[in-house]
Amino acid sequence: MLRHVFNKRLKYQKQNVEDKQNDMPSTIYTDIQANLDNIKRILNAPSDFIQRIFTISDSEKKCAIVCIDGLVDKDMINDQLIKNIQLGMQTAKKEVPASSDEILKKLKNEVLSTYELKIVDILDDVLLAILSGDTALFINGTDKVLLVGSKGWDSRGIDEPQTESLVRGPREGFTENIRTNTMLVRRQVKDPNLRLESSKVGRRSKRDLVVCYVEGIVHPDIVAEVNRRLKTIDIDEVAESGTIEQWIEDSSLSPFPQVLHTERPDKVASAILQGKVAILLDGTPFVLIAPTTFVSLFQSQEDYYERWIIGSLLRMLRYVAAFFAVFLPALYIALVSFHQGMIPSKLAFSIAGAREGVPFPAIIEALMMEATLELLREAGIRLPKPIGQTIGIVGGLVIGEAAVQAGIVSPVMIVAVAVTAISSFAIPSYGAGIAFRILRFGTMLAAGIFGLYGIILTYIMINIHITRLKSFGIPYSTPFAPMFYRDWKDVAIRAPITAISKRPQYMQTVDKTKIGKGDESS
Amino acid sequence: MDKLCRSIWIFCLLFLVTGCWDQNEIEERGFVIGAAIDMVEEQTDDSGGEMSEIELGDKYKLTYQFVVPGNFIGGSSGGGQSGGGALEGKPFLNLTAEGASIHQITRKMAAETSRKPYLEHINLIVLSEELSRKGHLRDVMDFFVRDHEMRRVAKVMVSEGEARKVLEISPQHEKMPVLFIESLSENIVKHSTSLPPINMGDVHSYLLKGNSFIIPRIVVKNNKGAILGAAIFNSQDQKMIGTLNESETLGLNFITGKVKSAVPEFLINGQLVAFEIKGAESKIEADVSDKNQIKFTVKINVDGNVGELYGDLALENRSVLSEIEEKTAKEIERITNRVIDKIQKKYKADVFELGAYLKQEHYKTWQQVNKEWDKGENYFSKSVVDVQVRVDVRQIGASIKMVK
Amino acid sequence: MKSFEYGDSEVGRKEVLAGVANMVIGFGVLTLPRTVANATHSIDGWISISLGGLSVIFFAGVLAKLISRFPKKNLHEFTSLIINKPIATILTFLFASYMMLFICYEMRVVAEISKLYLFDQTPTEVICFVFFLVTIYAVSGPSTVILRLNLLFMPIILFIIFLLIVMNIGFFEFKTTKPFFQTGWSGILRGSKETIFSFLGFETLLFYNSFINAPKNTVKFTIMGMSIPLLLYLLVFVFVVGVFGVEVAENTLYPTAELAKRVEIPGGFFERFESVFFTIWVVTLFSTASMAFDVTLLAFTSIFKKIKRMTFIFFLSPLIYIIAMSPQNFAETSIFGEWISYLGIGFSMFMPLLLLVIAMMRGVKGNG
Repeated sequence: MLRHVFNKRLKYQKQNVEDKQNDMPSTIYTDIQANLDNIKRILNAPSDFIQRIFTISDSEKKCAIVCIDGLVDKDMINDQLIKNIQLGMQTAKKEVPASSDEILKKLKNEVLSTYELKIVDILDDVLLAILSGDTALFINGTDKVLLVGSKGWDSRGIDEPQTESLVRGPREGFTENIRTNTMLVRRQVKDPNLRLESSKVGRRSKRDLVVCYVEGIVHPDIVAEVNRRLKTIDIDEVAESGTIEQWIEDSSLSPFPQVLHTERPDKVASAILQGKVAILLDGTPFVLIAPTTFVSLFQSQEDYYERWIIGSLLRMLRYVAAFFAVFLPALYIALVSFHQGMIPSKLAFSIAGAREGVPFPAIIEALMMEATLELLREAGIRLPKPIGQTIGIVGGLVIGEAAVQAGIVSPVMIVAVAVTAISSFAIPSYGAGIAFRILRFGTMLAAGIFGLYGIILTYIMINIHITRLKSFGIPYSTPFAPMFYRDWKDVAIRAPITAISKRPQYMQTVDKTKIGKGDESS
Repeated sequence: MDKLCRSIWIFCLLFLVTGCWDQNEIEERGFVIGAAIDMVEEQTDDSGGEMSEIELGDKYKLTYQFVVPGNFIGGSSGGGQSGGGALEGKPFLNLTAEGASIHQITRKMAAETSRKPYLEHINLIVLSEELSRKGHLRDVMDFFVRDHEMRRVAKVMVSEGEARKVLEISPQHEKMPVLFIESLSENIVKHSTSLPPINMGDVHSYLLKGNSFIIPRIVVKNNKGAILGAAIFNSQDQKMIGTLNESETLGLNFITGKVKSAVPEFLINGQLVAFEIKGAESKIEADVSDKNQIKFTVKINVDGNVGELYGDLALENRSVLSEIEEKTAKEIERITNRVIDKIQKKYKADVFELGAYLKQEHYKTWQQVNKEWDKGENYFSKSVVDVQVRVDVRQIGASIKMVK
Repeated sequence: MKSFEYGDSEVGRKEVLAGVANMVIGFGVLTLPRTVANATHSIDGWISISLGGLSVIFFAGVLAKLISRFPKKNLHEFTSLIINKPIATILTFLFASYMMLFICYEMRVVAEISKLYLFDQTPTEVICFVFFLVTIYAVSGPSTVILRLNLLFMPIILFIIFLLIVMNIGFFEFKTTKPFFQTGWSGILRGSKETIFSFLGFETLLFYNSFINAPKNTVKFTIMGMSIPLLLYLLVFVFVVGVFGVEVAENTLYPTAELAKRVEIPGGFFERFESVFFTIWVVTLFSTASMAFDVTLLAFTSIFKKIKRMTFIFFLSPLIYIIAMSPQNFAETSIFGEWISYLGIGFSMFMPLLLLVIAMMRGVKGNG
């Protein structure tokens, strides 16, 4: 029973994600006008619907192109498509064949100089293509349609990733365009074994989804599991990779993220070379990485780009920060309200003196300050940049100071809350930061009731939860439990590059070694 | 079924929020940092009926020194402006009450103060001489050892005269008398004319071992306090039987090896030399062939520098240095022999830990003499303690001569 | 580690080591110095502890040999092979009841210690209840989770004891430990008897055997696991006597706690180390309790295969709580503990020995 409460088992049904649009005729007519009317009717003649009828060079054959303005590259259509068809055949001194099928073939093979061409005969494919930004070419007399790749729309240029900026490291981040993203990944890993498997996801949104891994490194079961879970996604719209994450994760009740997301291509590359799988979704710069363990929440790419001593110290600092982020307010409450004997005498007297006029017990004080801080944080996200910075300072200094002056909270509490807030920002993974914030409140409540005993029981419960949690079959608390000594080199410390010669043991990768030994290839 | 289980679960959890039984905010605690215990002189009978046996017995007068945290941080800063104004700005408050058991007295005191006495920060316990002479040390200590609230490291001292006065001395450099006394006792290191601080755990240990022991003594003069000398307790009935003054305590420290620094003075050719001892170790050996006259040899090794020289001795002269060493050794022997004499003859209580030495090294003999070591037959007073001192001069300072 | 899922069904030898060590380290360490000092009146208690420990290690080795003979089978299954099914059922049922009493005792003890050192007003029932809830949470998942938890907790427990020892080195006086070798053999043997109670707990392996995936290492790692508590007890005892002397050790209720109180953190960073020490101690008692509960469930479910684990949890929990709360005061709890220890000696030492001998005589083996 309790297992169900905390560790929901997803029931995977295999469903066919097929589109059944019942009342639309799905045939292509041989008459182009009929086709154009049909498509116009299906789409309800939107204002950005472009159709252009023209004749093929010398013959009388009429053909038409259909596309959606805004999605297509106008120049390409004008120069390559229309011009070529209108003039090309003639310039090449070719005979225009009699049958339309032949014309299509000839266009495809000899005339059109675009590099993406496909001949289809299903209306659904045509519609999908048009809506994706391709151009459909109809020729009178044939029910086959030529689809020309002509995608070209405005999108954000490659920019520095907003959420994960480093001091040292590449400044390229993913964008919303999946083609750009796959390009960025490919630039990192030029291994012929890199696999990018596309599919479409979302019933109505039909977004492109790419599953990315390196065959020969990753354990095949992981890929199979990821694919299996992805296939069960059956909703209208998958706007962001977050939706996918929530659909395929093991436990939606756990505060901890079981799938990592990142905006950085180098992080993705490093992950797939470790034997993980990356999931890219068109329309979002956030790429998912699965599976994930607890320790990956503390790893940042910068650890690897800086030298190992610095990397190790920074990592250890993050663990300390995580500890503070979860337990510091609770410790304050426990010490001040329950175990005053543990505070050194002089400090105890100072705290007691400072708290003389404070009306609330420590736990209420702590909860109030934490709640205020959460409000500030939430407000700060939505404000435009210049105001956002000021709010941080205003909130911190003014409100805190005023609260102390008014005698509502004690100065020590402010210090504790400030340190906690700073610590929670020191954790690289945003999802983990949120998880710790949630846990912090739970621990504070436990401390408020039972003091130190409450804190330790909460700690035990968190441990039980982490040990029980799994991410795609891998226990979350790897490599501590189950224990893989070799992987510890990359956990609390970051051993020198030359020492990390094997891929993580817990991933059970097919190809084990990363570093060549002398002149052997790895 | 799932839902039912879940709701029962959550319902159970609700119970926990109903009470935080042990939650006592820090500002509601009455921090007690020092306690002084005296005996009550007269029994006043104000209830007209029969008094119970307890009421007729000995009563204690307990004084607690409470911290007033509001004044502790001294009218500074914006934070707690609080109720500091009413109490003359003193960061401490002494309250006294009487009763038969310490628990009783604490309860009575709680009626006078708005804060429940909280003993976890207690640093000092002072017992009055009278109480110690009557043998109540053992009883009073029981409270402090048994209750888990206490820290083991609270210091224990015996006061000359009334213990309460100790809590009222005017503190220098510190905010409260108790903190001041604490610093004083830490300072012993510098002069070794009193014992290193003894804490409650040590006293408990002494009581259990059944030996005689000594406790530092604190003296109050004109509102100023000083830790001088020691009080001697015998093993039979844990009563205080006497005191040692400063130089006697120094001698004792030499024998037990607890001297950290001391300055014996002596004359060479009529000129005063002060020798600064940097460290002293003592080793005990015993010849137990005759249990009625056990011979103890205490070997003391002393290292030090020449501290002060009045006169014109030439320090680069080897023979001068030897003489200094000899004279220092003699001085130390004199001090130690004096105290050994006094203890063996007058008090007959083994405070030199010689008995413990016997137990460790000569177990069989110890088993024979243990029961009557410093009581009854008192083998202790029958034994002979011989002190041999060896002094080494390590440094002579920056100048060889002061005058040509 | 064979299947990709890391099995909800497999643990390796490191978990055996940590499991055994964690299970055994528990309440014993708090009172051990006193009981041994009372018997030997000197530091020679270390001999008692070593003797007691080594003899228990022998029996632990016997048990490990027995279970490694029947890989992936638990007590019920291999006893049916060795003797017959009805006796196996009875034996398992008795074992399950013993384990249930064990967890009652552990929980009660945790509540008592916490009440003594960490709380003042909070009722013992509530302390016990909260602890019990966390234990239930632990037990409601697969057993391998609990075994893996031990791996997580072991370093913390070892660290705190390490701190305790290291911080007291300054107070350790070698001369307080003298005289040596003065106690007679009767004293030493009496001391050993006392220590045996503190070494019990490894009988949980009888059921965790169904998860162990490398049977040939079981014996070695069990013995290694048992030597950790032995080492710890020795260190703690020597330090208690060295720092306080034998007299104090004999007369304080929890000498180890006094050792914790004695610790002074340099710089006065915080006082009252014993609160921290006890808080971490709760962790080790928690792992003991949750393993005991887990094994109770494993035992019961192996007899009554039709009933689900969750149902057992649901019905046993109130029963366990009521039994845990029934001793009225500390004296009754101690007697309760003693009886359980006697039962424990029977189940952990004599039963496996007997079973092994019979199995060897009959040439019965589990199919590897």
